[in-house]
Amino acid sequence: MEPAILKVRDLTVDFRGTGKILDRVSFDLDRGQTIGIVGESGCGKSMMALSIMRLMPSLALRITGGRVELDGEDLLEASDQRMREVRGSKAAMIFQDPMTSLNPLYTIGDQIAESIRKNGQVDRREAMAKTVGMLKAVGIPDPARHLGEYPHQLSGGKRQRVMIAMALAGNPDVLIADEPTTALDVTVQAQIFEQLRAMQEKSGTSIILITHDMGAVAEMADRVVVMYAGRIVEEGSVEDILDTPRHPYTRGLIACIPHLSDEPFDAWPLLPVIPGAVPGLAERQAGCTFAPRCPLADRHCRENVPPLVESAGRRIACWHGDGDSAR
Amino acid sequence: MTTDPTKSVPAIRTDGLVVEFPLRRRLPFRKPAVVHAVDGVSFSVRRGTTFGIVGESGSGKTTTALAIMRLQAASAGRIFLDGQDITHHHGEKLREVRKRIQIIFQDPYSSLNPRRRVGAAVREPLDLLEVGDAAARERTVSELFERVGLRPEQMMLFPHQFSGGQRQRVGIARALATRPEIVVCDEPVSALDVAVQAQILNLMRELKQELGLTYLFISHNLGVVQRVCDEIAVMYLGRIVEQADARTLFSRPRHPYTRALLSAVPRARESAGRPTARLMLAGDPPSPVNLPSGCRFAARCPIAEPRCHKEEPPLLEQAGHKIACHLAG
Repeated sequence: MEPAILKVRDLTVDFRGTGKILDRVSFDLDRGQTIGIVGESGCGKSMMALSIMRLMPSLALRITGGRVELDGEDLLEASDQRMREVRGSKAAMIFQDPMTSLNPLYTIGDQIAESIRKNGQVDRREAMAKTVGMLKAVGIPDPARHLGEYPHQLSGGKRQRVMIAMALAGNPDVLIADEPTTALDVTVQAQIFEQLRAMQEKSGTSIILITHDMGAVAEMADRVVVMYAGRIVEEGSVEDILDTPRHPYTRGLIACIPHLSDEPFDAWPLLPVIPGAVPGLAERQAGCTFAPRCPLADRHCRENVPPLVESAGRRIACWHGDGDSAR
Repeated sequence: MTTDPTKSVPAIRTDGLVVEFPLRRRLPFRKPAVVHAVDGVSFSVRRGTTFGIVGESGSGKTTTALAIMRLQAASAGRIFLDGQDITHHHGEKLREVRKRIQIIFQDPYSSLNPRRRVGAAVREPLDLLEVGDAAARERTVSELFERVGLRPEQMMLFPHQFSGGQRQRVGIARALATRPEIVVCDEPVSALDVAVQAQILNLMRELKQELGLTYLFISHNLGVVQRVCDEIAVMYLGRIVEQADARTLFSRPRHPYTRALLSAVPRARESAGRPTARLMLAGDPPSPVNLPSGCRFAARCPIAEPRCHKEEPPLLEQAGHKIACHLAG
């Protein structure tokens, strides 16, 4: 088997020495595979993506340990100069809100052409021709007409397509998509997912899809990583996680999101909830971080951190993970 | 509670509601272009039920809500509250109406003044509408806080000291302050974290049962709408294209737009395979400035025929199921 294109090992990110935003996060991403990262806000999903790209949003945050191996190269050891080459050509990222990640003062043609020129020795005219091709490939009709438009002139769906075109311009091995469709309508979301799948089939790009939408995960991902309070609590194939979730957090997360269902609802039913909220850094206690919200937690859980244990192709960090509720 | 001759009178009814926004004119002496945000919408909401409005962004669902709240002037059509025409109420009469209809906004971050204590924010509608004396208002606010799952001492805090879910609880408390009968909920959980959404929806359910509220529930999240709504209207470019009770709409959608909308939602329980025959819509909705002639959905419709591009289909009712399509059988 081909080695994984991206190997993350024990990635740890520290906030001003007061706590760990990410705590020994490890996973592999195979070529052409899509991995879905799920969890509530504040669980470290986006932080993990930014750490892989070495785009730390604040000086208070520091990567204090671990390795991020992209195609055999440890990105945490790479120089800033090298990272600038890596971003775009080997790993690229798209964000939730395309309006804030596009420059409002440049036309979209200029912005995409810039990322094409940066990643290959092509002149301006050639870059523009390629840009037209990219826009066409992400499903923008009549691309030549849109080249001279500014971001505010486009709809949300078109802006996100432009972002995808920019991200794919350098033909990256890994595309990190951080809630790429959360701001979009469902009909547009379906189009974007379709596009991403088609691009992936064509170029073999691996995708990290960060989302809180289990439906999106079911549709796009091959594997799922569930994060809680900076740690991975469960990982497995999309079938395993959605059909037989074992960590109580994963179960709660799947249950509490009202998905469109084929069963009818007569009256407004009481929805299952996960009580409470993700603890902030200062509130995290010893033992399992999910214990305060967990229906199965006992004293053992509150005192001991459960290790992430691998068996039968899936990993889980829970003292009650094998389904027995009385330890 | 009055006894029941009013039972059959809908809590809210709109009749041919139109809201238009003129655009700045590009050329002098030309008629300015107009955005047809809501273009002839009629529906009624039964007392004690939850009426859902769904649609993509730009379909006019929020504008409809604002017009009903009288926060946006109607260009034409009429709005009835309990059978009483409130379309042109103003002054004291409008204040009376405002006590009876309140609104919960999508984003509790931007709908609370960051420099006011949340207790004062919740008290504000009582102050403005001059309900009771100062001590009574203070007492009401404190009761409201407990009612929505906050502690009364949190009245002294500022919005930034709350989490998103707590802030939406403050927003709900403020909406309930004047003891309204009808609450317009404009995407009440869309800005909240996934696990918190269920907590807020459960609170809204409790309040509805306890206080006998009528909800007008606006959302693009079909999973949420399916659970909370009794009846649902699907809007497209300012018009209702389909309307039915929730069970019928989700099990037997008939308008091609509703079908496409439902099939676009990814389902978590389909893990075994990739989505099957999906009705994919191409492109974005057309602009509400230059409306197409004929059916508004024709340009994106997978089954459109020549006549769909010429004649606009009326919204016709068949056994409680309303639909505006030439071809839906």
